Amino acid sequence: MTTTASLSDGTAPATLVAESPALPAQPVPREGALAGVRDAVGLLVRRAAAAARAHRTGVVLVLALAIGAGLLHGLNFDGWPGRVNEDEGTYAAQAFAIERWGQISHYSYWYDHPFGGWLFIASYTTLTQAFDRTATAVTAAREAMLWVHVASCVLLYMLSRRLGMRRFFAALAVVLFSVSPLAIWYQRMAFLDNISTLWVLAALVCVASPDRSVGAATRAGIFMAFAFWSKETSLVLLPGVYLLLWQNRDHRNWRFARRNFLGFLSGIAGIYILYAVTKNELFEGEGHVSLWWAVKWQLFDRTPSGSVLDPDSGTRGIADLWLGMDPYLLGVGAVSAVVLLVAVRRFRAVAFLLLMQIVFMARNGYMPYAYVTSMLPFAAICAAGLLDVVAPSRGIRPLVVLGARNPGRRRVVPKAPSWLTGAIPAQRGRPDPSRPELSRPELSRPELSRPELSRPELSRPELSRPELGGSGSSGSGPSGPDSRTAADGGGPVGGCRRVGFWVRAAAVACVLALGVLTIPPRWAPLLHDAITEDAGAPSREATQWFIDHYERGQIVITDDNIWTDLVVAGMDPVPVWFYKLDLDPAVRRTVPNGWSDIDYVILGDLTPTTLETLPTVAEAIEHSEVVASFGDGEVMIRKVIPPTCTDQTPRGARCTAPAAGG
Amino acid sequence: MHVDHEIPPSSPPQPRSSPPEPATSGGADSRDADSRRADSGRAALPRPARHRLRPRPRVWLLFAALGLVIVWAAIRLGPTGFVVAAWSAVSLIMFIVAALTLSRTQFAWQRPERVDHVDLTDQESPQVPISLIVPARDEPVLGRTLQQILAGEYPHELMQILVVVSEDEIDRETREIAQSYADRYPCVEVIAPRGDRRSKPISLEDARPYCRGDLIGVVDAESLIAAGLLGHVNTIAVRHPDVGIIQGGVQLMNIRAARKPDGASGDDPAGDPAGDPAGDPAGDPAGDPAGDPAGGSAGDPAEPQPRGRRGRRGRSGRSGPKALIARFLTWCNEGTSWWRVRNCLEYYVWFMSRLRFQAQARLIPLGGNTVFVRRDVLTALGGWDATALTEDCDLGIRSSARGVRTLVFYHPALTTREETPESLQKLVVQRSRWMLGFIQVLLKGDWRDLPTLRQRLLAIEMLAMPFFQALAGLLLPTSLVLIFVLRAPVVLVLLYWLPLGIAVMLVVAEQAAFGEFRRSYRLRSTWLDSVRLVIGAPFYQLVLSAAALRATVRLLRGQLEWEKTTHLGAHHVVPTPRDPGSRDRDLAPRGLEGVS
Repeated sequence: MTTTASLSDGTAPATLVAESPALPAQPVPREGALAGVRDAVGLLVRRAAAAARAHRTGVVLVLALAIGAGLLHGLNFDGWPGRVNEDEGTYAAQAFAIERWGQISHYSYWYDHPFGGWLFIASYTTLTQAFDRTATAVTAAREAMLWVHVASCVLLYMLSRRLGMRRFFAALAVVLFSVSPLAIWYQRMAFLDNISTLWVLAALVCVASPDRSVGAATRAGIFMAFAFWSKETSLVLLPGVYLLLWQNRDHRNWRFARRNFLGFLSGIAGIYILYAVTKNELFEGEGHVSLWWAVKWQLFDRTPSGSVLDPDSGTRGIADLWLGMDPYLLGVGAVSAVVLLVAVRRFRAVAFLLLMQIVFMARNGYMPYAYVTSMLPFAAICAAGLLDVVAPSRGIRPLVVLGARNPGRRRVVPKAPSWLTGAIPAQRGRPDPSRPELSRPELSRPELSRPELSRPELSRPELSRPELGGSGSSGSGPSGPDSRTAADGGGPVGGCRRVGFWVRAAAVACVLALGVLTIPPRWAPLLHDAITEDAGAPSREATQWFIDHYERGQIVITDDNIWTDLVVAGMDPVPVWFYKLDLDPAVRRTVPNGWSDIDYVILGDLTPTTLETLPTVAEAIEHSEVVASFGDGEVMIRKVIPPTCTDQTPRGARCTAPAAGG
Repeated sequence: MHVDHEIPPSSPPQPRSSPPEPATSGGADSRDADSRRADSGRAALPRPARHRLRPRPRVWLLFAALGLVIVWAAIRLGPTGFVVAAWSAVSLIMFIVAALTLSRTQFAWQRPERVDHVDLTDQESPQVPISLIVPARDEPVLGRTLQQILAGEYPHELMQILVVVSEDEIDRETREIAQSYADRYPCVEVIAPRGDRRSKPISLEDARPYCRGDLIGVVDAESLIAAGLLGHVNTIAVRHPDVGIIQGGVQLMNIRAARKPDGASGDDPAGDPAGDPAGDPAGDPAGDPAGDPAGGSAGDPAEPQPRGRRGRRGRSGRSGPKALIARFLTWCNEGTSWWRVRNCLEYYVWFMSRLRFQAQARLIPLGGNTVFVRRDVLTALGGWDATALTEDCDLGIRSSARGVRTLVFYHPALTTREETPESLQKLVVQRSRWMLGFIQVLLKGDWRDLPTLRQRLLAIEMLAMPFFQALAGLLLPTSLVLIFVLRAPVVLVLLYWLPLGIAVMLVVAEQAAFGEFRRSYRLRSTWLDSVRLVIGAPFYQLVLSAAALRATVRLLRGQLEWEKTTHLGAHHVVPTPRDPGSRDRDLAPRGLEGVS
């Protein structure tokens, strides 16, 4: 490369010095496209391996917990609980409609819930061909729930750790969350709440991220939006999630973090409204469903179940059902939550999330059957978290969680030195020479592009082992504000000397011993049922019986638990979900003669109030006889007997059939 | 970002047989010789050594395959289906580009510890000799700039300030200012090469042989550098010997309208980066030579940006509603300043975040100002490309391809301060020149020599941004039309909305950046500025799209008459009659030859 510069003049001898460290000796070899892809994959693998090495103990522990939880929840997941709630079948049917028919719902979609939840189930069943494999459609959906639970366990552990809990107590939280019969009962069922709780946990894990990066806040917002898409009621939890985000903020990028969180959340959740707009179904109108009507119905018109404080209300009944299955997890969790909410900063958001939901039950609103699902993880964390707070540690634990290392703006000393005139706010706040990262400018250096290396280690609670803590009282960090954390966040740090190591140890030991003595006897029978009982048999057998006995062209009314199985079995015409017979005009048109067009009804006993709203179904049942009964009347197959066949010439052929059959 | 000079094509290599006259001289006698040599060097100015442009049949294969796919899809799907499918693909690409832009906008704040990367308390003692090149062209504010540099904290004996002015009538005043400083300060030298066609890269190339410092810095004649800037650059140069290029921050500061009544052209003390308010021909089809076949007609490709026509109408003395409209348009162009805050914020995000990302990704389009290159690195790279419209971007790409590390720092106390262009029209002109420069660099193809695949993809993303920006302006209206005319399925409608969603998130992120910007500079601003920022977003995007469309159209026409485009700085040029045919051949950038 000859240029004028090299020729110019001899006045600058340095010109000819070619060996500059800034100049690579020779041009970097050009890498091909395939090599580039390979390198990128290799980098990802190396990063994952490095992360796994850094958290070796944790990974092993989580793996063990996940396998244990998977076994406990996976054994006999179809048999217990039985088909006690028809919603399971509805979601399975809707997932089936997405997978096989490419529709959002098996009947017209009326904005009952956002369809993300059964889209999730449908993607699982599509990927694994679950509807073809499993005994019933509900089984397929429950299989997806098994994985949801395993993932929730992992996320719960991560969240506990990020809240500064020690491994033992984090594992304890996972055990409580997974082993409680109440949890097994609800988490095995194919409910949208399980999916939305999974996303809320994922959002919380991101929100509590030690990196406090904008990306983490963005992911949290996306996951909260997914939670909304799975079940819209999860937005109730938003204040708690935001509280944790706020607690864990770093004021240097807080503007960006909060805007990304809220922006992505509202943006992705807003697609739901946009969907309604593009289908012209946002507002009520003639001849179509609408989002507005659905929301109005959910919020105002739906029959309320009463307050939990009212002993005769439906809400109270549901609560009694929960406490009957397991009083410990919710009870201990709630009590701990009260303590933690008041006393311990790092658990405040989680405690708030639990208590808020409990308080919500006192209002006179509609209480969904699976409402408890989203309380369980927080109850588990609160119960184990209180123990973690009380439990002593051998050294001083540097509790650097939830942004406590960063001074709030109010702590900033306004008297900035002269060199800081016009400085970026954070620098005004805290000139900290002990962190060389601050003074390192952005280098175009490949190793610096790896975030692990440019990250200050102290901000990772995983790395702050108890053994590493110093003996001094300021061992929690180099700067003042951390002592505040130690005082209100980590009881162990400040209180360890005062209360005494052994008192704390004895207290925790007592609680643990008490728990071990009292809880297993109460849980054991239910857990035994959970692993052995086959309560799903009646529904399954009824389906099988009917598939063996039906004739082509017969019209059948079923519940949703069976509906999908009959469709999978190839019934023609497609069976009718009993709700839609009366409520969906499109379905009404398929039975012009009302109940007399119906051949079979496969249902359990319906409550009189339900039958009042479904006159056609009620009539059909009235004019029917039970031809087969399963599970002691849990599922009955009825044959409808038409009133008279004489007047109806076109239907003469049909009315002889039941006569011959009957 | 790029800088002030309107850049005409490099002058044709005219053999300059007449003995070069030393135009002006600095204090010492040796500088006479310097200037003389400069002139001779100028006469024989070689093209900078560039990477060869490899012919890559594979690329054409790719295009051929793409064309085949399109044809196949058109046949297979039918007209309606094809339009829907094509627009879905476009939306998807725009979504990806917008999402990447969003993440890059927030790069500096992604991690808290990344935000404050400059420690002003911890500095090395001055030890690196620094040469500053100040290319000046008709800049009455030069004195202020030199004063600012000299008043800085860096010792004069380690500084060499090379002012490049040209030896002609236009620059007389500037030259005199420079000379007066050269007389007073030994570290100031004046280089006054001859040549009737001046541009920033040519000036830089003229000055390069005289640089004695280990670092060569570029400072624009109208920008104010910070007192501590050179000290910090010195610190970086000492501590990071492996860094070849150091890029400092440049910041536009006037978020509101500048109140200055005089509309005189170059005397603007605010330092308009566009440099030439007196009717830039590129932005004003009316000012184009009559020979321009399409100029001003209805089919004018500059149609999306009607500012040119506005100007003409404003000048015509008609009365009635037309005059009212004309006045309104003139007001839109000159009287409004809603876009200034957005322009300032753009600089803030670019230098604080985007460039730092690019440095980390090792693919950087340098800024044309406050950039410091080690001399040996610059020599090895062959200096600036005198034919480039955006020589800074070109140098950045070449240095990245060579594997040179760049370090970008941004600190409010160290930024070089400038002001926004005078009018909206000038903004469009400036933008379309940059965009054209980027496209020029893209077509030149040096980026193909970048070592890794990721870098090459990033280069495409960055250099093709003008196309994406042009597309962005079309995206929303087209999507709306398609939604209502074609009755696309719901999933596709949502897909069409996705880029818009990211655009909204960009506005949200900009609000955060604006908050940081305000705090950093202790700007007095009200919520009105934020509102203006939000409401102005779509309009600013339209302005950018107009500029991009203009650049694209000029590019397409430029294959026929590239020369016209490069007339951008024509009013600086003392017109001399010459054979246009020979010039065309000479002026066509090499990259274009390879592509067209």
